[in-house]
Amino acid sequence: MCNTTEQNEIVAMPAPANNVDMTEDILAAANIRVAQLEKIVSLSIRRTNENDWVNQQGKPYLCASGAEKIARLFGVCWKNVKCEKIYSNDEQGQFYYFEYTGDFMLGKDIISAVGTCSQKDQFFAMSKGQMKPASEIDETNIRKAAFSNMLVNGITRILGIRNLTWEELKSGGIDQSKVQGVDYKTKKDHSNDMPENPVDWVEWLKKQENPKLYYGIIKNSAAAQDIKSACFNIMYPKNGGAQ
Amino acid sequence: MRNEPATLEETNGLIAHMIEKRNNFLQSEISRYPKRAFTCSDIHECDRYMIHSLLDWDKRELHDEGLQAIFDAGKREEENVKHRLGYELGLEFVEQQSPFEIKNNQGEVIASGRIDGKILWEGKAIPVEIKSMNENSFNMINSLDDFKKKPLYRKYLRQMQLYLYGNNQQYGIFILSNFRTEKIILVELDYGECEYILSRLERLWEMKKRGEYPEGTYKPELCDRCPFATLCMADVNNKPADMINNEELEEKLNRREELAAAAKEYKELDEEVKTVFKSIPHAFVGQSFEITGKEQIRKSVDTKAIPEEVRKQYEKETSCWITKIKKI
Repeated sequence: MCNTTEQNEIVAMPAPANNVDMTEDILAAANIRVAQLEKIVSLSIRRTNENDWVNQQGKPYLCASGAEKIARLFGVCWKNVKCEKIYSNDEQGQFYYFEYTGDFMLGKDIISAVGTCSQKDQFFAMSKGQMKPASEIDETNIRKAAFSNMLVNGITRILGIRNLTWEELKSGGIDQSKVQGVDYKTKKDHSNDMPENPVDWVEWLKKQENPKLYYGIIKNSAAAQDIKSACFNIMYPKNGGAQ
Repeated sequence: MRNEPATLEETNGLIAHMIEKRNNFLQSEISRYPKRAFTCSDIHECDRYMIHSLLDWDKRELHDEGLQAIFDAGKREEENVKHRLGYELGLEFVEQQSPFEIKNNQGEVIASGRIDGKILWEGKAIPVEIKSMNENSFNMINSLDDFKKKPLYRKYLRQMQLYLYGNNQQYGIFILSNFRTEKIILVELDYGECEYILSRLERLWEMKKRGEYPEGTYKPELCDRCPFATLCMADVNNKPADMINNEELEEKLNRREELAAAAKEYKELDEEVKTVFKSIPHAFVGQSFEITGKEQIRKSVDTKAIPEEVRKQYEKETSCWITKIKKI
């Protein structure tokens, strides 16, 4: 790179950092960033306990209680929170959902996060495999879930701690077996999951994350008593039974 | 009934049945009710909460089964305490759960409440409020000042002041129970405090009539479990913890952690062995230890024996910093 003086004399200018140096700078910065992120992940997990997580169909999901603890640790702030109740339609008719939005801040970083929850959410709307009538659904639960989803989204996204694995949680002292499970499947669905032949149930149950879900099906089945007993022993081991 | 022992799955079946039925029962008790005026037992420190409690009672987040179980236990304990007062102490409990109202200068009912009851004593009826609580809280509260330590107990103080005011009484008593024993604390009507509460209620009542919400200010101790958090949507300003990178300090903290168990064992053993040598001026243990002891006279002041009014003259407040270290 060069420049000209008033006398049009060509003057050599000092070269900027060459490409190799720039790449090294970027790599060094990235390494620092990775180390910082690892520290954030580690401290975040250690700040929580098993009650702050749920096992949602095999994946760890941070609850709002845990997200709030982590937010306090790193000084995550939020403002401009807004809520909207939105009506929509599908083939089954009209339904509503709540949408919360808010701005989440960490130092100078700011992001916008959204949290929603629908009247048709399986956790609130389903009972014994059927959709509950609207009058039986407590709207405040749906509102609360949408709000919590926004908090968890905003806090985990701004800190970069989404999609954590059970291995990462384990290294932070979280015992997967003590984390409460959430399974949205209905009883009918459970029976569909099971092998047809009761002889295969014991081995199959051993592989299930929450074998207790199948208690009713096995209890009411016509399987031989020894198979039932073996299944129940998997559901309720002798050194620790029902919660 | 069959005369065979129950199997593991049968016993676990019973456990699962009990848990499910108990939860169902507790759930059936959880509900919300319309509120037309402020409730004397729920005078919250947050103005915004107070307005939400009237205008948005139907959107209040319901509490869970665990808290419902605590409420139920509290109600039963209230009956137990009344029974003990009557059966064991021969006291007569009157005007149980009698309602009272507080009106503003326009004659509108702005607050209402129910007092647990009054005890008849020498021809007078003395207001009583019974509060059951866990062991830690029970041990923490020994005076009216101790009620000021937590938001929930500060609510109890406001409740009692309004009870005394609403019932034209100068004195009342708190009976605290830890579900085994009771603690009795005298309460005097504090006109200044009562005036403050009433003027605040009047101001909030006017806001309620206008459908106006005061500004929400985030306070973790008040907001984190607020049943109106999803409506309030106040800005949250969390201050980050200090992140200290100091290997030497971290090593010292680790070493401190390692020594904690040994220090505890040392303290216990020290106390135990010194008890053995009490009143022994000189002794040897085996060939390794020589123990000496002597009686010393120490002068001290028995502060408990000083009359309270004298002790209060010398009371002073000093600031201190409490550091808690927890390995994560």
